[in-house]
Amino acid sequence: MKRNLESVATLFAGFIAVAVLLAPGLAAAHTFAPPYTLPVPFTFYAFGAAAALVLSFVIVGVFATAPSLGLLHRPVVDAPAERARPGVLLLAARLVSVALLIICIVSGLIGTQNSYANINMTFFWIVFVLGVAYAVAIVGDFYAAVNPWRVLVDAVAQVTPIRFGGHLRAPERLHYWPALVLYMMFIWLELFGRTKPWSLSVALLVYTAINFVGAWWMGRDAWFRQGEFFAIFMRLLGKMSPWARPYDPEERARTGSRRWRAPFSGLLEERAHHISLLLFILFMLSSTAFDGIHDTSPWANLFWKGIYPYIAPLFASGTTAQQYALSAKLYYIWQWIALLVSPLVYLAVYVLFVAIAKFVTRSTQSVGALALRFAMSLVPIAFVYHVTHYYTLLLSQGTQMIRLVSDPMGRGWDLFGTGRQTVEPLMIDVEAIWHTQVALILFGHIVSVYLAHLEALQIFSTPRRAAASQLPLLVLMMMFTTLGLWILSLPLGSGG
Amino acid sequence: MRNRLTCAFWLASLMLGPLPALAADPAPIELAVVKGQVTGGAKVIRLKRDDPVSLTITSDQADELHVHGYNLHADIVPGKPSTLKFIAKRTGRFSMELHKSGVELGTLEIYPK
Repeated sequence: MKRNLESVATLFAGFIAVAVLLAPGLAAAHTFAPPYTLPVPFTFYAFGAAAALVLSFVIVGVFATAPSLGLLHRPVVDAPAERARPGVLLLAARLVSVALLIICIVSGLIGTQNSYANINMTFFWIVFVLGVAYAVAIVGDFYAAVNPWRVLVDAVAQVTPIRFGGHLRAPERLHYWPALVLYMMFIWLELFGRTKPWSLSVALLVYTAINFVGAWWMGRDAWFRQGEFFAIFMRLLGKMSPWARPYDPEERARTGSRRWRAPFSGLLEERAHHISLLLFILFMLSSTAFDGIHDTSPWANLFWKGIYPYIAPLFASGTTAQQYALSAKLYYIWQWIALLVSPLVYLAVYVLFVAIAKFVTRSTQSVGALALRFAMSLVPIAFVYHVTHYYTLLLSQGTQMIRLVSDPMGRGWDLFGTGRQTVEPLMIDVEAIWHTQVALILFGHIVSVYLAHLEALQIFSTPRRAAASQLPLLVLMMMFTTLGLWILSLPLGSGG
Repeated sequence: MRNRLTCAFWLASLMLGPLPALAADPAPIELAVVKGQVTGGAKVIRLKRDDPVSLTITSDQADELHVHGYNLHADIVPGKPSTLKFIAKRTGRFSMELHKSGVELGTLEIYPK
């Protein structure tokens, strides 16, 4: 574990260095389609936190008295396995998936550079990154079956002599590190890359190349299991879906094809076997928290009042203008370091509370093993964090697709008769947003506490010890939930 | 007689009713852009739902004003103030910018009542 952390630290340092070199102008960050939500008022926040606390104790209380209430562990009916060949529908879906990737790339390269008028920005950042992820959480991981990069690699393997069999002797020893590194680079690009249609296309081309090289180097299956981070992100979210049947017929032949399971119980079917997957899940949490916090005024104050005065003398030189440019640069580096280190901060807190749980229950299992056992139960909290932060964007900007499909490159086309329409963004009243945000965060919290408790019942011999183990984890989840609510309530910094 | 008085009272209160709201109208927003910089820096302007908004921009360059979320546009002629008037029907946080130069003018924060 120690060695792994060291290798992560090296990766971070290298990545920061590359990011500093590659950083375009260091003006204010301007994300595509910034969210329009206002900070949640204190009363909502206080209510949410109090409700989370009460509900948590209700769950623990219910379990302590009626531990057999493991509703999620009900066996599900298995359907007979099916033939492992893709049907016409799936082939068509794969073609559409690749076509959409190509449209995004081409449109960004030759179409308008107005982010709102080029289909690639809205399709990739909103429909794919948000819409597909949320759909997968509801209907299951269909992305695995239509992953455009996988389809492309498969196609190349079929028509050329290149065999993506892998050149690395033991790709499984890389675990999920490749995916984690790519995921971090992706979030950096999302928050600080200030992508325009053209640069998004370049990023997609580079990512396509990375997928080919990765599949060649690690082997096709290993790469799309441990390297292509969207595949891992979607797979984790898909585990929450009540629809248990894999969309990919090959996968179906391997794992059986039962259809339904209790919602969220899929997360207990799999265990995180390595710290890299735990960090991946923690980064899902921490990157969203970071996105929420990095534009707020308390966060800016922390740097300008708490850190900058101490480090400024180290760099003091030159004119006021140079000094100003330098301080802006330092602020950015601070932001990037905070983003990249955030999962390690979450990891430290998480491991601390798991260690307390071990101490309380006098478990013979190691802290590391216990930490991995509870990793999947964090996915619902990470998911609701994500949804509360971004669902408004999906509605306000996602609806612009109606117009964009007719005029994808902003050239005045009107393919489907909707190109000249002004589509009013679908916006929800801020009060309704506050209610849904608090409700969603509470819901995710309850599900996570519930899943962790089911896991504990499997680990510990008696319900009593299981309940005892849950008290520290409950405090931990309360912290994550309250932090999530708190971030939603922070005043935003000035400017857009 | 009493009935008539009551009627008059209700009528008067109907007419007077909206007056306090009118009196509480927020001040018009006036911004000036010189050499791609907003005089006094980008601002956060806080309003309540249904407030009437009057937004006047003067710039030394031709440009186009855009209020996000409301999707309102106004052409800007150099040196001439251009004004957008609308009712703050939508709650939320919306940025105002000049489309061509990309200058951030500030943010409108419209809160529920």
